[in-house]
Amino acid sequence: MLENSFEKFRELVLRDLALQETLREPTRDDALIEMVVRIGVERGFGFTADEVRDAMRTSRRAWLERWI
Amino acid sequence: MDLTTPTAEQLEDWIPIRLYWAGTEPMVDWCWLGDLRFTDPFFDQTVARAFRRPFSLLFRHQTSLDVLEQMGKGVEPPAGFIFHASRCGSTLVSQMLAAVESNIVISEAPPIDFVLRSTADGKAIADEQRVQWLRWLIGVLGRSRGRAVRSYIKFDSWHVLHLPLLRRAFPDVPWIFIYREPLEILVSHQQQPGSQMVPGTLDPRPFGIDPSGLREMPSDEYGARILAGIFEAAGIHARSDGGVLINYTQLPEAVWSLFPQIFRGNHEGDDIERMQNAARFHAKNPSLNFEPDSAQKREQAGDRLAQLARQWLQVPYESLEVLRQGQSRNGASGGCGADGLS
Repeated sequence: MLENSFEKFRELVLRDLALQETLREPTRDDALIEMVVRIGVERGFGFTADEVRDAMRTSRRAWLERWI
Repeated sequence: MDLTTPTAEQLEDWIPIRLYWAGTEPMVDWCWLGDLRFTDPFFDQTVARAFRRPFSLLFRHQTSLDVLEQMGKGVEPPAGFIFHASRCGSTLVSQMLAAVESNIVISEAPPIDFVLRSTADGKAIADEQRVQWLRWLIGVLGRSRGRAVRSYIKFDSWHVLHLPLLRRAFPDVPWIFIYREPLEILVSHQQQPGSQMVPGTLDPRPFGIDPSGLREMPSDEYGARILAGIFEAAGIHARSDGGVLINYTQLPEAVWSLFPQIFRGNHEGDDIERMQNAARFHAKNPSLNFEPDSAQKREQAGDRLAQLARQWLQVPYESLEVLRQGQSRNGASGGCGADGLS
């Protein structure tokens, strides 16, 4: 299950500069989430759009709550 | 949490936006900044702008501080340090410097505050360790990016009390302290208090305030005494360490007339015009025009605030003024007579 997780995909992206270039193109959250899920499927990952959306929400919350 | 270790090349357009503890290990949160420049009044506002790009929000490296060490090697030290008393024109100054493309201006970056004030699980961090971290972090924050090659670090107002530690990390970086007539500063904080004026934000002991008396102390007195601690620290360090004092009344002209000598750099092309243009706007809200408000602020000050200013701030302020006038006579501010710029 863990191999399919979005966390593993994120690690892959952070090691792959070419993939990062591609994923920088979307300017809207929904467009990026759609692209992430599509590329994830192409590379054998099985996470859903909701999982990516949750990760984005968590990331935003961690920044907003950095003083707490 | 992603703990892969990226190389310096992989982090070329990334910046450390936050330091935090993972258990007892300090960690760095990195954000892809791309071609964004630090042109906002404060560091966190530029980071917030980066987060409008969904990639930057979703994909962030989390590394140990060793990565900062690797990246900080061989980086040129900053061109200058800017300390200040708060509400005294320092944001105007940083905005003017940021208007020049060859400058990088890091303004009140929380990761620097983390290094200066954080404790490891309640235990003190050795000064030598903090000095190392400061070298790495400030080196990486201020490293050249594109055409921007000269970095200026504007600290939080209370960081002037940490100046000896910062000087150990960067003994040769010229520094200034910007301040203003203290009653005008107090009025500004009365209208919109800065975090340092709220009891509980800072350790009050370095400011000469006994924590056991905090409960009984009126909040406006607390603020006046915090400000007094900042003024006093600036005076002590300027005397012993050669920092240049700049009064609000010397702004904005001092930025283009004094800074080249203080910070050992020359203006080029239309730099001065760009800085003058930035000075026309309100520094913390660039959509508004800047208007001097000293007279207005003094009118707004009530008897109570005026009394607090006299009791706690008159002596340290006058002491700074005497020192500044001495610097002006002795050419410490570049030999061009700071007083003539008011």
